[in-house]
Amino acid sequence: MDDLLKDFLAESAENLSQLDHNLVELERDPSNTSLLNSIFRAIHTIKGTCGFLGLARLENVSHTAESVLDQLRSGVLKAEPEVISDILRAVDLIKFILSELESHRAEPAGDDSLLVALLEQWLTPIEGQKATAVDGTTQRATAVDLAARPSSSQPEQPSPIHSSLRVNITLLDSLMNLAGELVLNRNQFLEMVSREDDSALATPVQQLNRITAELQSAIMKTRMQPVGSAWGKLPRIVRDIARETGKKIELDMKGAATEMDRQLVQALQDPLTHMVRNSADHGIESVAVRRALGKPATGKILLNAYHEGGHVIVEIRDDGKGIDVAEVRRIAIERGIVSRELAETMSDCRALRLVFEPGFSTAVEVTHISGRGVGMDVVRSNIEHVGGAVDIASVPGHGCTVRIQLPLTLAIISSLIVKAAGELFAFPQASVLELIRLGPDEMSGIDTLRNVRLFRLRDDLVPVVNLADALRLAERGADEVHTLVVCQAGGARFGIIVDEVIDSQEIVVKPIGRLARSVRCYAGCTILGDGRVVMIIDPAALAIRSGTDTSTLSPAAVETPAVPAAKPDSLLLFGIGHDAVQAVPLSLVARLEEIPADRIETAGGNLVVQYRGSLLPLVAAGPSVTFTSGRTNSVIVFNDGSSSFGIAVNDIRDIVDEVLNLELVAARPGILGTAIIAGAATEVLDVSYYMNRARGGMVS
Amino acid sequence: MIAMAEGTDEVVTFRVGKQWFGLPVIAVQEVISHQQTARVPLARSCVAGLLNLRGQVVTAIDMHDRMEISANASESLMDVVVCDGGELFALVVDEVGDVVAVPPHTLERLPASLDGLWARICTGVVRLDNGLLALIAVARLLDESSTRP
Repeated sequence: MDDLLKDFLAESAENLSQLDHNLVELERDPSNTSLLNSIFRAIHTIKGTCGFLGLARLENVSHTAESVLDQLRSGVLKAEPEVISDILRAVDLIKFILSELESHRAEPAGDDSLLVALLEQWLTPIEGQKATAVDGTTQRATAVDLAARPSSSQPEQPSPIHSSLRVNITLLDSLMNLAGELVLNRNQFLEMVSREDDSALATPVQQLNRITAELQSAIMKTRMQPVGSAWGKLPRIVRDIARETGKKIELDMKGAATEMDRQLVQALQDPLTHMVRNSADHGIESVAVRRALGKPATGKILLNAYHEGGHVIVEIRDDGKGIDVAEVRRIAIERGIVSRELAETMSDCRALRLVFEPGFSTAVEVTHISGRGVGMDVVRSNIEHVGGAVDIASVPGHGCTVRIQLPLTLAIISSLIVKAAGELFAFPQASVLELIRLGPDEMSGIDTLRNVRLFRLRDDLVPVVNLADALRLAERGADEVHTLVVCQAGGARFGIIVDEVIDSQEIVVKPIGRLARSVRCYAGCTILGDGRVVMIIDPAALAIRSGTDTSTLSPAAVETPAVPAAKPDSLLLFGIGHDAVQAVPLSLVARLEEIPADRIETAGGNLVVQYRGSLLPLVAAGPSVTFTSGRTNSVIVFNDGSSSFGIAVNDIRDIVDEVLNLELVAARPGILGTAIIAGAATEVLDVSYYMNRARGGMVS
Repeated sequence: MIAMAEGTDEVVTFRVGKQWFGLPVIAVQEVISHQQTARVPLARSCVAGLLNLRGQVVTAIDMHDRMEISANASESLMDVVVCDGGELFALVVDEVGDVVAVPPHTLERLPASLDGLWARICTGVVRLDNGLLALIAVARLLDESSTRP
């Protein structure tokens, strides 16, 4: 009996998971008979089995629901939203009874006569309704259906029973752990063999190596689940919100087959539900508002999942009203999440991310659907808990995109083992873009900007941080050669300087204890082949910690036809005296130099400085730039391929990411125009003007 | 009377600096000679590092730091491995003594003037022939909220 019940529960759970989705689908496409048949079959199977197991309450409900479905199949009833709502109610009750059965092994007591009566009213159609329902097509539908019916009561087509079987999840988990231990063991062997030149063990260990790798990847595959299995509930949720609020919402789901570790699928479920709710409840406007704005009456929510560079990306995008950044700033200040100064100077991208801070909720009106106070901060902590990242972008009036990035799997990752200040650390290979050898020349080529160090990587300036400094380790001896580990996390690139790279290894990620967990820059720890424990660096967290985080989620991710995609530029802000600040796109900047004012000379009425063995022409960025003897000036060096020139400024202020949108066109030369940057009107420098002046100066 | 869980009448004793402490014997998994630890930069000051105990990662706690007892360098250290909340911790101590029986009636209240940290971690005091033994509650010892950053 117990086994029968267990099988029944497992089977029913499978059937029911599809049911919500199918019913909502049916509402949209009432003529889809195969869909209707599959719904009917699911309910029918439950009814049949529970009669056999003596579950009277369940049988009663499912029987009545089945009768209504039968009416739908025969065409007597139409799949109107009201009917579907009642059937969904019955499905909810069935789910409830099943969950009670699972925990108590008995049906709960209760009276379902109300629901049964509700369902039964559809069985005796009122005259008027019948007249509309029974028309010419009914006859044919009934006839078609009669022909189809025998097949539906027969067992379903032979399922591929022999090609798959159900396995307990704890068994899979323990297999995974064992594989992890095996990997460690193999690493130990590999290290032993590598120490001896021609060990008799070399060949068998190689073999072991190969088999372990294959075993590990096979076990990993057993744990993969399509991300769509976390989406099953969403159509129903969106439908319910739409009906309750009178909105029209379409939920589009792409990439449901994208696979990831089941633990991650689970971790994704709640955040996803929360965000889709948010989109439907707060994001999408009511039909009237949308019409008034000239938008299509039906709001769209798009879920999109795909693989990207060893990660799974899940995007939730809506074309609703977007998020008002000013409002976010206001609330964040009001709730004491950031200081007023900080809120006003941070870029919009950054300000938007304040919604992930604990205690933040933008819902002005708390509805019972969402806005329960626990909001996006829980979403972020859930995602980060499994090693993922979440970011948000919004175009006011055009919608909002939330982007979740998750690792493919949790347990085993390939990693880079590095050394810094005598300690070993591991970097997840997935976030490492490239390694650059830094000799003494390259080390001196790292520019310092206040307390941010920048390395010129081909055409980009990449912020770098020394791992030993970031972790406040005493740096041991100044080695001549270092290695720059260029990482990517979120949308940004940055470099981490380490003393040397030791090895690349498959490692088993182990959680760190709770007392060490408060440090946010580790993704876990691992045990190496020689038994040593090594911390795994989380590059993204380290970047945020050390202030090199310039990542932004490009608002271009929100594809709305009306707004051309706008990408944020990294802008260098600098002072030109009298508290005036100007900006120049960082992409045009070759490097930054600090030059003592005393070294700046005048040649033929033009400023020059001896720079790397030649003369670099300089132009002051305005009359108020001062050159005080004994002080240094910041010089922004530009390069047009053949020659360089510098613009002398008073000081470098900041680098911000902002969509460059010139609002006022310049009235004077040297300035392209004025734009709102970091919340303040800022003049944007016209590099070509200065280039001509610098060149002209050299010629004359 | 001070409430004590059953089975705590046998305690493992260990010394940190000059002070002897006792831990309920059921909380202690094993005692090992001090292991090499991997540093956890930026962690709380009491975290001495992580060590590998037969494939399991164990958080080592510097008891000198935790109990705010100044360290003396020349000691040979021992690790008392305890389990709390499904996690393993190694308490790095100076010396491990005997397991002593502590009948409930010998247990005395903490002096009211005991400083906040010790008062929060210790459950009671036992008079032994060679001095006082402070009994420690493992969960309170490893409670993050009372550790220094």
